[in-house]
Amino acid sequence: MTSNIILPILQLIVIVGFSPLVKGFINKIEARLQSRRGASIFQPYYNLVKLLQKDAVVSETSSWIFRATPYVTFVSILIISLIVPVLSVKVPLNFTGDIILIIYLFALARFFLVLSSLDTGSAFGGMGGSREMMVSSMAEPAMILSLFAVALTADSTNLSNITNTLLNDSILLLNPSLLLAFAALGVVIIAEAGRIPVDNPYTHLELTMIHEGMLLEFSGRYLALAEWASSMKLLVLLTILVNIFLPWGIADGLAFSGLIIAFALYVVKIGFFAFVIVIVEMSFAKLRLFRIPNLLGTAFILSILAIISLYVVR
Amino acid sequence: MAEHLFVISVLLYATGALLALCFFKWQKAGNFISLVFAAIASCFSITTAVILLSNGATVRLNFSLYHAIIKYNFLLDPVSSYFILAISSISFVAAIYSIGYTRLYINKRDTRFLGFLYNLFLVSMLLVVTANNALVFMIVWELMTIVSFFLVIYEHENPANMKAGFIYIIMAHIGSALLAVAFFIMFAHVGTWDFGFDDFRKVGGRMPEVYKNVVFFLVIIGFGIKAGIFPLHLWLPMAHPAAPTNVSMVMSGVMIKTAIYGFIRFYFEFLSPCPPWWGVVILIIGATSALLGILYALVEKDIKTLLAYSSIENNGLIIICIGLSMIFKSYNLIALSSLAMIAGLYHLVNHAVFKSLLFGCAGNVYYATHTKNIDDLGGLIKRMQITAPLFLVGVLSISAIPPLNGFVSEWFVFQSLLNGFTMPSVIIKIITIICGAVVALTGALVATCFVKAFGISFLAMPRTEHAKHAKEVPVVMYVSMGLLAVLCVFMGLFPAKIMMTVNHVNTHVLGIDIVNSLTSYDWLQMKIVRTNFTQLSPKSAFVFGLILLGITFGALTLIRPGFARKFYETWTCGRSPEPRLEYTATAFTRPFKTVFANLYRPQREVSMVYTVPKFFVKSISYVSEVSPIFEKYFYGPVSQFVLDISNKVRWVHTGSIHIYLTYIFITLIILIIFVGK
Amino acid sequence: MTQQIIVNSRAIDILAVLMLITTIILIGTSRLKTCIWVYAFRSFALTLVSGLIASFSGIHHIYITTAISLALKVIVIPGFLFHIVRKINIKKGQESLINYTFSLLLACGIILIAFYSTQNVIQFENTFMRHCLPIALSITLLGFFVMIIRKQAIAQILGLITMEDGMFFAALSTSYGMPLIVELGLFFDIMVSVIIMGIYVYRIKESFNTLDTDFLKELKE
Repeated sequence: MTSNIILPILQLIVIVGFSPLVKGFINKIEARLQSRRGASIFQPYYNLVKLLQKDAVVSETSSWIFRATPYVTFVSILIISLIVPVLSVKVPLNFTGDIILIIYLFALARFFLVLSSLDTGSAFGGMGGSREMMVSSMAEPAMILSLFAVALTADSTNLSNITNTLLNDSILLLNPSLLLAFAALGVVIIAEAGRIPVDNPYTHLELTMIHEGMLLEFSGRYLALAEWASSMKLLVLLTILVNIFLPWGIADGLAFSGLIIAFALYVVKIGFFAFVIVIVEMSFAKLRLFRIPNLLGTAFILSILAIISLYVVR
Repeated sequence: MAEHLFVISVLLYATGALLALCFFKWQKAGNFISLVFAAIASCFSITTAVILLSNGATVRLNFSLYHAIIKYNFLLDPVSSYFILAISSISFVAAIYSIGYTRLYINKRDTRFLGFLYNLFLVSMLLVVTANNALVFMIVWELMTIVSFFLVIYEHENPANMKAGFIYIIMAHIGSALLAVAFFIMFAHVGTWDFGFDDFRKVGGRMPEVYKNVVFFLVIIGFGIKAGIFPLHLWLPMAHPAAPTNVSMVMSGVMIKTAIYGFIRFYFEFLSPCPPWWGVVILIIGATSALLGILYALVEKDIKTLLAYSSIENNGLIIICIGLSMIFKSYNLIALSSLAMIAGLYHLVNHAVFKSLLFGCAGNVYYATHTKNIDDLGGLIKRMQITAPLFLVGVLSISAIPPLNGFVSEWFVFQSLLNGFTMPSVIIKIITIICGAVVALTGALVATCFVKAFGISFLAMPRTEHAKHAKEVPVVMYVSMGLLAVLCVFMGLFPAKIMMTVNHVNTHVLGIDIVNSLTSYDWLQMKIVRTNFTQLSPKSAFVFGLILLGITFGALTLIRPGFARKFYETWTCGRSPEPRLEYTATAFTRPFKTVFANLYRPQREVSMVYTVPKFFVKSISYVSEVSPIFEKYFYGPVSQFVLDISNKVRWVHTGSIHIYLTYIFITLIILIIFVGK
Repeated sequence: MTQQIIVNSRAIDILAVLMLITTIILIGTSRLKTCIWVYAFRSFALTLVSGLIASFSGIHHIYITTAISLALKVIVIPGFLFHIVRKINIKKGQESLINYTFSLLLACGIILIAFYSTQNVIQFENTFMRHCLPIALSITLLGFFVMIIRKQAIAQILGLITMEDGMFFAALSTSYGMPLIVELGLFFDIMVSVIIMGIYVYRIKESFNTLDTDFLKELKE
């Protein structure tokens, strides 16, 4: 019984609590590599605390959709964080759903965010929303196919089962199709999380604004929720990546010592991928909007190849 | 018991139709009576279907009127019952909805006639899915086509509607002709004179390979025209918007599903066993229709045309499932075959529900604003406070957003495509996976399309006077739509209950009961092949979502107890916000037009008018159009060819009576010689 | 032992897939220098494969070919190509005859064909490297494809050596490489052809002031 309560709380703490830290870490490293001192690694927390204590200014033209959106986005990503294995192979809401549900819960969050961006009636929001839909439409096939390649390797679409299978049979991990799926998923994650070759997370004023353009009218608590949801999304996506492709060290039960080791390794792995994101952001310029389909098209081709090579390896 | 109910329901429809005509002067009353009769009749047929499905029974109805040659045979097996359930549920809601919607036409048009046709239309669909005899089937199929043709041209003073109607009737008749040929080919192998479907079931599978293949293609095209598959879709996005909304709701929601019924009957009963490549053909057709349908819906501005294109897409998804099921069946993987079949049937009824809901809400919008152009709307969420959330439910369902019903069938579709991996042929494996990618892309595009449809027409500020003065519609119109919205939520949250129903159909068609490997407690699971084990419980996702929402809300209130909102105008770089600054539907899909430029061939025309000293622009007009490549490169040459042929044939028609008589004479002589030989 | 075989075989598979990815990058990218880096990387992966095979099979002459290909394909040819690029000073990215997404889709189709057509052959192969033949065939065909779609002469050199990589890999995967003398001849051939083509590229640039091979049509008159 206690395990039924501990695990969800643990996962929520990790995902909700540490997601701003990941963002802070990325910003800090990036600043350092550009030989700036950069803000404190805890800056995202300060921002959130500040924003949560403020009242909100809401656009007159907007409706209840606008006010509901931050909650819907936040909660849908909270649900995802309970379906994804984080520290242990066991997952709190295992019977609730699989990767398909996760993909469509992301779609739910996105759907409402785009609606809210249209709700304010400003051209910025509309532009951001339209581009977000374009990028996600291009990213979704690649994401689904790469996850399918993994699902076919592990014979299940359930993330907990996938991680379990890959953990126990490490020969499966030495698999070219997983490598291809990994590459494809990496590209997709960069696009979905709105990082640099696709979107610039630091400003809404660049002409290619996507995610930040949609958040333009949010303020106070709403902005805090939306920002928090976006950093949680990044962490959840990285967690999926890490626990599918590098599952070593993840606890297979709820033993305390196992969880501690799992947590330490988890921090290292996520830190490593955050660092990779920094490197990517440092070494690439933002793509032109209409080059993005090319990038995502490449990811798509990689994921198709992942599945084809799966047929051959079998 | 059930058969009596069914007969009563048919009779009630007929009475309703005739009564409508009897009210000579009181058009309003006539229309009202006919719709009430339709609603009651559909209650009867719903009960029939529920009774039959609850025990999986099969009932036969045979009438022999004095025409000896036609045996009026009807069969109510689980397949028919399932379609009856779908059709009559939608009919019930549509009938109630029509009571409100037809007020648009009161005192302007003959609404009695509308009621008459409407009842005939509903009953003809019921008869199509129950007919058990090729001749009866063709008669009711024609009845359905002709009645719907009259409904399409109901607003006949608009030349566009007439054109749509004529294209519809021509294409539908090509389809019927091909179906008739298919039936005759099968009939030729039967050897009895009663054209019964039962004979086809016995003989169809044993026909020579060549004939089977011919019938296969005839049936694809014949029913495919009705289903709106690409490139035979031409009539659909024209006719559905042209009809009054209460009709297009039924046409899009259930009439095009009769084609799926035809596919199931032919490919799983008459022609079974099928070679694998048939399934592959169907699969590819489905995938193409799904993708192209949604791509065209995406750039559409007329909300009803958009919904019509989206019907093509959804029918494509169902056809994908049917094709997949056929392939599995031909490899004798019956469990997987029924998985795909369940996916298709589930999506079929889902689509019927949410598409009717969306059409109904689009009708509400039209009723309130008298425009169908999304770019003229805006801000309706504040003016139509009940229609807006209903439309949102429909939009979320069709975009397969959990926990609504669209998601469940999408999940099934993905699971069955994923299981395509177990098929022995490599090329088919690869095709199924590519189909998976197509379905994924389609899903994402559907979301975009309906974000646009809802966001542009309901949110922000009204763009024109039409939208500014919109008022909420009469009660019946949103109450009936509310029923459908509730159904969307119910079918999304409790899929296991629906599964039980679908399973009867599946058991009947494929002879295997897999409900135990698909459901546990009240959620879904996947325990069919190998170890692919996974579960899905939309209800639990929903409940936990609510709990988490409560926690979030509580925590936020703790952090800031007196949270307040100030209202202020949107920031638009210092100007005061006005509707002209809003993003339009055209602008919203502009990136897609660029990305898919090869398909759309967008044509843009920007013309500016300057002030007299050419420094300032007085006005800019921007026209952006998508070239209809199917019309241009497929129908263009075909119709040109037909015209050329007719031109060549024209010299035969001289207009002189003597020449015509000569023709008849020559024909007679030839016949006599032929007979004499 | 069997465990080790599987690990080795999987490692080779992964290297093979890396080579395939680099070939796709070659089609996808328009920067010449990236293309050359990619070529060097792929050749390096190829040498790793042949090194693995050498150590696994214990055939000595594969070590020699590995060493030569390391020297030639990873160092000499890329170095030479970099030298040419620097000398003729190309600023512009290279142009393709067909657009990006379409060429990627075509590439995907080519790979599909390669995988499909080798289905029947590889059933009879040794289990150790049987997944490599389709990839080798794909690399060869993709090299050809690059030569077709790219306008600039240097890209055609890249396509040619990509094809050679594919051939070499195919030979390795089916029969643990060709006889030493044949391999040496091939290496010599490829080196000479790269040098000759390099010189030609330089000449073309001198006389037409462009590298676009479309302009070679003018030679017809």
